[in-house]
Amino acid sequence: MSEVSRYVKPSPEVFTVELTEAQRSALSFAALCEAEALETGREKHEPEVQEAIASLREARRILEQGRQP
Amino acid sequence: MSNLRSVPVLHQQHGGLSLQAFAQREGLTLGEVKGCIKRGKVLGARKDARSKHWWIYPPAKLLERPRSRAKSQEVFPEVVAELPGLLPCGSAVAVEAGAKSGQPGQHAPQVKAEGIFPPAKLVLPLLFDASAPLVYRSPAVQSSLRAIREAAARQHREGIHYLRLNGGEFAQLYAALGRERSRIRKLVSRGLAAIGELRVSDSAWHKLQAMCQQGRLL
Repeated sequence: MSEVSRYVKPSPEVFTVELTEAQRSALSFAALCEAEALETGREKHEPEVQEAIASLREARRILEQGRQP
Repeated sequence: MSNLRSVPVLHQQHGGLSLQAFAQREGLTLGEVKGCIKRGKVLGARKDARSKHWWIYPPAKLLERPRSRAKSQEVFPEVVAELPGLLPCGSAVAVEAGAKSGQPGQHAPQVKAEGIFPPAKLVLPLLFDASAPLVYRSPAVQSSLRAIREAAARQHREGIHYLRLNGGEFAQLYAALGRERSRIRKLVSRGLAAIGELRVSDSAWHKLQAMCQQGRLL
């Protein structure tokens, strides 16, 4: 089981996050680093890791551009 | 009163009357004049600091009642009525005369403090209600305050991003930020990163953590 999967609790709920510019930038950078770390890890082919990577990329895209309708 | 005339006249005493002259003018004896002075009924009476003699300076009037008593009756009539033995403050007359003459070193007569009591109730009425200040009832002030509040709200909201994340994305970000904080903390301890980056990460972390704890869902 992946280390990340301990934190992942899939939920259909949607959170509205209020972030300052600095917080948004920090979160985006953290998502990028985490995604890169998962992609270079040994468990990168695990389905849970792939799901985590996809979530992180989507989250980073939202942080950078906002969610597309 | 030959002893009074033997005292050399100072230049400050020009225009002042001796006790003898004042007594003759008013038709009183010296003892009566001294008693009136000590009761504060002689306007302009001053005791010379060096010669220790009384001199009467303009306006040099003999009052029917002491001025200090008249003032106290105007302010606290009930106190004066309850205390008929209240002694007037004779120094007020002397101080006023001394201030008018401009002479230094004047004698300050004794003041009996036993007759001075604080007022038992508020003398001045409360002019306004502190719980409802009138300034906030003004339409002009209210409009100004509303404009200030709106401007402050606009300024506060500038630069705020409202992002909608689903549960999976939110959880992944939460975990990623936790690890990022650990990395930044190590870098800051080694002097390779600024403390400001750690503060920003901490603030974002606390915000996400509060949202998780409060369950802010939409």
